[in-house]
Amino acid sequence: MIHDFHYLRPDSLQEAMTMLSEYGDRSKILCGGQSLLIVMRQGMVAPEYVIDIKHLNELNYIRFDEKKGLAIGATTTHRAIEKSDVIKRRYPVIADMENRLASIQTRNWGTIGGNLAHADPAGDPAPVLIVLGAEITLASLKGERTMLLEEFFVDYFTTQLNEDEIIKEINVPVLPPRSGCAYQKFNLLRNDMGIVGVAVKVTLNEAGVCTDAKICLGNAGRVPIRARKAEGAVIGQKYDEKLFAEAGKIASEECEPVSDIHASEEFRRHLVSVLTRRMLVAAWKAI
Amino acid sequence: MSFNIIGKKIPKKDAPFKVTGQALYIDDVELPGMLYGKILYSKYPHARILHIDTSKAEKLPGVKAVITAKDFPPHFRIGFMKDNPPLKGTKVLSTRDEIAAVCAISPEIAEEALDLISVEYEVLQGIFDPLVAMREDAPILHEEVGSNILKLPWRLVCGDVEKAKKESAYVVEDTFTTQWVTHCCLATSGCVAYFDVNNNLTMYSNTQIPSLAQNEFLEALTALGLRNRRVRIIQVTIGGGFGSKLDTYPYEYIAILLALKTRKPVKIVFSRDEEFFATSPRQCTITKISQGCDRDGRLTFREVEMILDNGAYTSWGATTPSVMMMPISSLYRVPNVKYTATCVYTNNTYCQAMRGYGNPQATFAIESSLDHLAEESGIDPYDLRIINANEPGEITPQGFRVTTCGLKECIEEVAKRLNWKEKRGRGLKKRGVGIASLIHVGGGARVYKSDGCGTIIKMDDFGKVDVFTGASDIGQGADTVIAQIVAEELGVPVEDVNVIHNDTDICPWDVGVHASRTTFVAGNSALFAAKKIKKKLLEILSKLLEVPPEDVAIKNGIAFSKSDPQKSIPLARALRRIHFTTGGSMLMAEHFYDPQNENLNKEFRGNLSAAYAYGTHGVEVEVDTETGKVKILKYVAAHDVGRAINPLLLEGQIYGGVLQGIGYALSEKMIYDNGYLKNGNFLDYKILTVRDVPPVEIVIIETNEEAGPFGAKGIGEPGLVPTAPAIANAIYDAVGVRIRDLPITPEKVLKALKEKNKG
Amino acid sequence: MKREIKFKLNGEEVTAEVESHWTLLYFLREVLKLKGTKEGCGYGECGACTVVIDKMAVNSCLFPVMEVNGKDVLTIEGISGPGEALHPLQKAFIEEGAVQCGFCTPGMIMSAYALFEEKKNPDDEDIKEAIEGNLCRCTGYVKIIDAINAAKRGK
Repeated sequence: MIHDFHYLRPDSLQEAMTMLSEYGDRSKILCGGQSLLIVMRQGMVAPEYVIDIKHLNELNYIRFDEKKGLAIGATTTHRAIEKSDVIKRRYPVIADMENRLASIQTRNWGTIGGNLAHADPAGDPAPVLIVLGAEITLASLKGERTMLLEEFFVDYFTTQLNEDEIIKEINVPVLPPRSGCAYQKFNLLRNDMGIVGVAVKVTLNEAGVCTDAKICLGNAGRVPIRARKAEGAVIGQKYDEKLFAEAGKIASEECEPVSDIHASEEFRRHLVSVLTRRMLVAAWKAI
Repeated sequence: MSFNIIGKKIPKKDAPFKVTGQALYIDDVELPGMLYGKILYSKYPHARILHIDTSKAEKLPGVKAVITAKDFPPHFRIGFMKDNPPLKGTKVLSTRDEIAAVCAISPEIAEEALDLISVEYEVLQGIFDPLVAMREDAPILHEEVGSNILKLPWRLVCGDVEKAKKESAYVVEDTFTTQWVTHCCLATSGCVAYFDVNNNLTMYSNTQIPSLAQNEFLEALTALGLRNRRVRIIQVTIGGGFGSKLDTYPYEYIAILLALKTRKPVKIVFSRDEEFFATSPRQCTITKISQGCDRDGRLTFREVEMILDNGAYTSWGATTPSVMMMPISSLYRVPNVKYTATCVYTNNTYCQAMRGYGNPQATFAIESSLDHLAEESGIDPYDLRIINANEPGEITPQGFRVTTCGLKECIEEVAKRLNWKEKRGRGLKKRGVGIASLIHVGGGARVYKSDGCGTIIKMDDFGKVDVFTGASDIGQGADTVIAQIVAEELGVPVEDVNVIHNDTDICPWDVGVHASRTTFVAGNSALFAAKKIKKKLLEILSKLLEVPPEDVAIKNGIAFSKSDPQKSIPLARALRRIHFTTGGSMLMAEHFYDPQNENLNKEFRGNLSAAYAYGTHGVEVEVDTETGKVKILKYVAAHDVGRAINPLLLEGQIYGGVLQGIGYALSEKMIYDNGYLKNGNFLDYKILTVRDVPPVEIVIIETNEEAGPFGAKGIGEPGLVPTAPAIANAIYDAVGVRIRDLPITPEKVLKALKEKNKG
Repeated sequence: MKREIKFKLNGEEVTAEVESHWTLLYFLREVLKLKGTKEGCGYGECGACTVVIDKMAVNSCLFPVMEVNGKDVLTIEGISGPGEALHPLQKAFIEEGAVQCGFCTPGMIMSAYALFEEKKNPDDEDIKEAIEGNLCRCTGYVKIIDAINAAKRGK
């Protein structure tokens, strides 16, 4: 049973931030609740005040600008992202990832802001957004701050969010020409949580040489992990499946997975290796 | 034979109530003044209870009663071996052990009260491995039993296995293990108990065994000092059974006692968490199997030794070896058979019946081992099965008298549809095909003293028929099949037959919905009752139409003379004529049908069922050799069903069974760590979603079983029996590794591939 | 904390006093006594509690009742048209044998209802996507897909 709370329904982001500054750690932001209500029901979280921002239209948007790239407001639902024409056209990897996230019921009401704030290392959006170079903007009465999404995650279910801060927006830069992305999670059931997930973005020059590579591993550590050494191995190189296999191996060594009921650490490392190689191939082919 | 209603796709009679949300499940039942019960479970898998303090809980406003073991009679036990006190007072043996219970005016208050009960434990070393529990120096869990090995000497010996082994041209030996899996009924367990002013008990229940539960609750009332009382079981709409409700559980006795204490209706409904950890799963097994054949591929012997983790208490899980014997002795012709099974107490969860009742575990071992033998002998697995396939008229070593048997047709159909000759053994693209077959009871199963079912039938003034049956409907469609059988026999539209099946006050006795027996046994019972009422009806109609009884026919509710169809009368009018007259009468009949099957004798022999169901499943898989992931490309399920009374419902049984079977093979496992369940939720316990359904093709083989109603045999369980070995065999064909431990996870496949490549 | 909410439920305006920590499922089942919406898990994992809110399928067990304020909610009790006993989806579920124990059925139908709100002519993939969050342990899903297809043809 969910513990009783005061339900607060701000009419604006400004009002929400005011409430948050007042109630601090006695409150929780509700933004879809597809994770929050579960932990509240389990009694793991029992806030005195719940500040519901799901309905805030000022944060419910998907905007694309050829220069500034993609901006997604925090209260945008997974389903809206999945169905967005501009995202399907410009960032199909995001739409595909969303399609395999949990169930349609969850995607209909769960939001991108809620998902990122929950900071489950097995979450699907973070690795994809990270390889796309996404930034996250946090807002409080003191002002706004923007950071790379990969810096946002601190530990299991822990982020850089201060008590008085709300996620406002996620920005994804325009992909440079000749860029390709791919994401896959390994799981038993199609829309299951990933045992591990690997996202890759590569950018090539006109000669087909990789000028930038980003690899992000989901559920292979306490937070989504950039496989920087593996990235280093492909930057400056051309398409080479042997090299990708090597990069996979490197990635499997630089991640920090644990053993749990779903897979051993060893198996997770192995999957990181295989998926990294496969996603490098897929990203290259997506160009 | 041509039928009007049999063989037709008649929609399920209760479906309109279910699609509109009007069907009442246990959680939907509300009675005036009803209280809500909650149970406090043990913190530890093995501990002595030093002290229980309920005083704070009792003082919480809204709490109406708190009970502990002290409130039950000291020696009151439940379960098949009477080893399970509904509340544990001195010792707990598993993490699902019930220590105290509360009822209150709301579930929230009851829950809060549980937190106020303090229990002092002395933690004891737990035993979680049956092999450890079997050791001489292992602590005894049930002192009164004196051993961790249950006194259930499962042992079947037919012929001379040792001799046959020596004479065999080829012999294989393997060990297979299976996991705990749970029913995952979408509706959780629960009941509402209340006593009337005369201390008679009414239980709203979702039991699969109303008559046996009635008996057990009566015993409980007697133990509580309420002699010569009545127990009425009212079954609500049951949100899934699959064997889970084949026994009575402690929570039911707890609800009874709380209701008695408070004189109020008390409802206990499980949360999903409780449903996972506090109901009884399919038992896990360790199976050592050896089989042999001669040069021509004829099976010479089968030897099986099995260890079953019984868990902390004993429910029907401990009796599954009685069914495992069936495939072990009688799946394919095998002259020499030896089977022993040992059930062992541990501090794990205790096990129960689940669809197939041991057959899936045994068949996994038999059919996997058979493919091994095929390889050893160089005989194609398809040929090996055809060579040894059972045939009609056969008497198996255990004494089963096989009447109809479509096994060969099933194997042939599956091979054809899988394109076996083309695909098998190629290992192309890491794809492979596999088959496995099954035998199951198809004509009831005499596991209890009676395998019977009663039917009462009456016709009213409007030509409508009411059928009161002992059968239970757990979603499979017993109500509809019985209505079809009666409607066919009487010549009335199926809509005119009303089936009442949910109240022990008005429905006759039935042993329960298990062993795929309902269509066969309750169907026959209904058929014979219908024949009786029809005989009376024809006599009356003969008088009214002034023709001999044998000249009377009934179709669509209208009676007419066969020789002179101009002479006719609507049934309703005929029934009113004989009713509303001086010395009038109404039509009623009853029948109790008990099939001609036998209890197994002391040597575990006997014709357990009046008919046997057969089937073969075939599957094509693709294995990702880098990740170990198995993808099912095609699935064919062929079943000898005797006759399809209702193909719509029949297919539903098979599709549903296959999907559960695939889960058993590939994804489902209750993960226990030192007695604690680690994945008791739908996120971590992986049942298949619609996105995971492979293409499934169903083949129905009709062999027209003479003993069955209109030729039908049972089909409730067979759909999941051979699934796991068919998949395991296909994986072997695809990539050359045999996984002997269920479920076949990617990690296991990958490990096996690595080992194979090393060797 | 007690609060008042106003919303549309099965076509009718409802004003009610609720506790802010209630879920919509609790409010529907325990307060309004609309028992057609089922609780299968309480954690958004089984879909038995699916209702349609503003034309979208959501899990009512993970839906704070306060959020329903001002919204349009449909439950299994409210989908058949005026004067009709059954919605075409309900008819199709009956006729195609898509119902066994029936506990998942209301949620399943609500998910399919939301699909038809979005797409008039869904293909098999759309249908599977629409009911991916609804677990069924009895049917193997095959006949449920058949039923949704039949309802589509019947439209």
